[in-house]
Amino acid sequence: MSAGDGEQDFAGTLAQEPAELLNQEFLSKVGRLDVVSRKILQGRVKGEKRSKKRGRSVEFADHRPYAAGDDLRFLDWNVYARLDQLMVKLFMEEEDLHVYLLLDSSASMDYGKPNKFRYAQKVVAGLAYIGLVNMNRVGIGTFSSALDRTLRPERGRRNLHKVIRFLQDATCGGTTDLGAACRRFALEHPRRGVVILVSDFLDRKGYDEAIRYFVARRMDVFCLQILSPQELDPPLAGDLKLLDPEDDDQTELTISRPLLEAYKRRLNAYLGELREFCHRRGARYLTASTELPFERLVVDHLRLHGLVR
Amino acid sequence: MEFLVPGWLFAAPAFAGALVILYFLKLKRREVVVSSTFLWQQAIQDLRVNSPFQRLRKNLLLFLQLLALLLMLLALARPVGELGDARQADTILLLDVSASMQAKDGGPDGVTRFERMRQEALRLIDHLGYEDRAALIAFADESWSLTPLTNSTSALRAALEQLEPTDRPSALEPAIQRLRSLLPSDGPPPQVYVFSDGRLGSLAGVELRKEIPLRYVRLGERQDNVGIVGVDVRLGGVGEGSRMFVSVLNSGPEPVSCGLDLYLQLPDGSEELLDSRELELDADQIAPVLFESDLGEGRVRLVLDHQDAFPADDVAYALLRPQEALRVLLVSEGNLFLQRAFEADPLVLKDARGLLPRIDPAAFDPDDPRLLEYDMIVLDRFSPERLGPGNYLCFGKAPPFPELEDKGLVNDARVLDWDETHDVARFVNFATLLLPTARRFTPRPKDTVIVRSDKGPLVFVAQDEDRQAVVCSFDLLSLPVEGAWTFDPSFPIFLANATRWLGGAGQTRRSLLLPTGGVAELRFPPGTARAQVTTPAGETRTLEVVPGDDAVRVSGLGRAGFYSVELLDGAGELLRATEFAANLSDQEESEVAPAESLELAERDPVAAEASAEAPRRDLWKWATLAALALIMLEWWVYNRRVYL
Repeated sequence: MSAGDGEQDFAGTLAQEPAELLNQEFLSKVGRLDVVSRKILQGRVKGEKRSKKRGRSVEFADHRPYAAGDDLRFLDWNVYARLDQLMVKLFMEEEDLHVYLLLDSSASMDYGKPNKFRYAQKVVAGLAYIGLVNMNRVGIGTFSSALDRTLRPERGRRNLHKVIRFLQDATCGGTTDLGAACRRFALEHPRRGVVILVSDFLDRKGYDEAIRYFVARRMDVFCLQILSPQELDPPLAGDLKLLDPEDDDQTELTISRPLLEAYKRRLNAYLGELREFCHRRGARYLTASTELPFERLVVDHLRLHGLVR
Repeated sequence: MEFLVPGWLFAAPAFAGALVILYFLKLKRREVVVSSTFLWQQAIQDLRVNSPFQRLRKNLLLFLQLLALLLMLLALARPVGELGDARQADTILLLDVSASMQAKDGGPDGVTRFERMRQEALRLIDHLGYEDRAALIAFADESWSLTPLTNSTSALRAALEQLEPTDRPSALEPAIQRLRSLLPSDGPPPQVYVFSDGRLGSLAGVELRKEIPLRYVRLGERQDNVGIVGVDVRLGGVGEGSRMFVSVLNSGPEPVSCGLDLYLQLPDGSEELLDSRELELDADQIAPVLFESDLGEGRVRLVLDHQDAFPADDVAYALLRPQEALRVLLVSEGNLFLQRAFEADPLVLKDARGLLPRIDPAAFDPDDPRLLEYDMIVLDRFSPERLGPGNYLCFGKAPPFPELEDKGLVNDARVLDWDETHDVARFVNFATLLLPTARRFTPRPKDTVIVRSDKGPLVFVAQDEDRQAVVCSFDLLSLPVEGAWTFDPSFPIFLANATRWLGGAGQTRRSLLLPTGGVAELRFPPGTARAQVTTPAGETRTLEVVPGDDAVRVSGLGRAGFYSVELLDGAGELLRATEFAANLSDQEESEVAPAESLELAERDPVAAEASAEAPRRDLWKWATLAALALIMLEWWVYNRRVYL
């Protein structure tokens, strides 16, 4: 009745996965896509500074009363003729969109078949590529109990190799502390932008703090929860001692049908709480099983959820 | 319910304790790394909160295991009993030890039915519980109680192991009679087993109450058999040879040819073949065989030269003896009827002139030692003052025996009836005996009346220690001339009967050749104190002779063969040596095919069972099955994650 150890143990499967993060086919598929923020207007009022990309970026936004010192070139004479009031035209200047990708590299990510961490790496690489080719500033950070490594926001396709190398150098290990890592990242990256948090969100301390930090800084937060099929439907049986790779916690239990059902109920409740939390904070949320090919996740699901367009 | 090995139940606490201790041992769990345990911990918490009885699941397993363990111990303790019947009734075994049980089934290397019966009965006894009582009754044509109702298995075993088969015919009635004496007045009726091959003769008159459970354990298989089913010897007259009649039965379905050999035992113990016959027997045929002419005298043995399953009826025994003349003395003033009648009897010794010895009553001296040489003395109208030892035939006057009284003359006595079974009255018609006058004697209670009239006994046998007399209360000469009984053919027959009976010759044929199980009645000479009987097996037993008894009765003829009897006086001196032969000679026994059912009167036929099933079921199988079911349930509870 009971499965062998090999059938039950899905930890540390990272080494079994191919190291290649992106392939040409994927790149060709996502070349047309761009990262979209629902919240952040892509640009800000810049009365005294001309935009670098005038043709597309100079768009009328609003009027305001003329004040002494305003550039007379922006006076709207038509309004003055109609209303007999001096109004200055306000333009929306497009600025680079900051795309922050935060990758969970705690020990719990090195689990499952397909491996969660490899899957997350690919997703992050894909999104980074989309951001780079659309001239967004793409910044990446990996974290476990704290923010481990960061890649300074870069722009342009030419930085792709930097991103790939950064991701490939990332390793799994340590406990998860979403709150500490995100606060640190938020402090280091004050500019508003789209924060894509790629994690399993399996943090005993909770995820509230982390998401609140970004939401408070008016970041456009996208929580992408990666779970393996073995977490969604554990193929476990028998008398087991479950080991937690992060805190070495040991839980002795006898797998029974009610226990499995209780676990699934608890998991669903946990995912529901996270989704609800994100929804209330204006953040977007998506759970993805590593069974789903990551190309489809990026091309179909993330587009459906409005993260890319 | 009882336990044959209750020790296992006493060990139950130890086993149960060991099982519980096992539960306290730490389960060796397999280690599995998961991404995070905190959801699992919450799930366990949820489960505990939602189902407070969950921890009972383990206890349920323990409970089931304990129950299964107890059932297994119960099975080891070998419970026996009939479910629903707390008290077991007694068991009574009726064991057939008749001759046919010596038939051997299963070829030359097989075992006899008797041995199989012993094994089956032992097996049955082994299955009895501590409290169960059983009784053993052996039967052939009689029955013997081997043990009373007892719960001592060793006593039952010992009785069975000492039991030997006999050469007797079989009948169920004596066994049923003995069984009735064991039936309880209240309580459950005993379980009765009949161990037999079913060759029990007619069962038409055998009754056993319907509520008494009866089982018939059939022993034996259908076998072909050829056997001697009848032997008879006709002794010739004085100086003549004997003749032997033999009946041989083929009970098989095929014709058989075999030889029948007649051997004479010589004084040195060897045997001489006297005659041999070749027999052709059809199926189910009885063939008569006659041996005659000069067979000599002594012990003869008949042997059937045929190999079959039942050797006991392939041999028969007989004694050939010449008839000895009887010495008769007539004490009379003269009686032509008696004189002529005795002289005409070939068995009576006459003098050279062919005349019967006669003396006058005046010359009769009771102390004359020569009187002892006579086998019989006839006292005609004469009664001496006293009589010495001997056999007497009295007419008209009573012998001087104590308390035997003469009440005087009676007129016109009419014969009412007579005892036809008595040897003296055989083939005699007393109806023609007309008596104008007769004397009226008053026989004592121990005397045997043979002929009765309306005025009193006419003929009776009077016994008095070593004297014996046949007394006729009438005077032959006083009979009416017209139609006198003395001219009737019954008269010489009566005289011949009395002579042979009193002289000891009349018993000859019956006492020489007997069926097994019969009783030999041996006349004894005056002064006999005891008889020493040597059986065919060489065992010797002594019978005390009761004075006044007319014969020594030798019973218990269990084995076919020659029985020699020595009649001894009080000092141990040999008075007379005699012998007789006992034979099975029973057609019912020789038909050795076992009966398929017992059909007792007023009962449904009892079907045969091949072996003795124990009266109570061994219950360990049920306990084992229940334990198995519990183990499967426990396995299911464990694996199907059943929870309360």
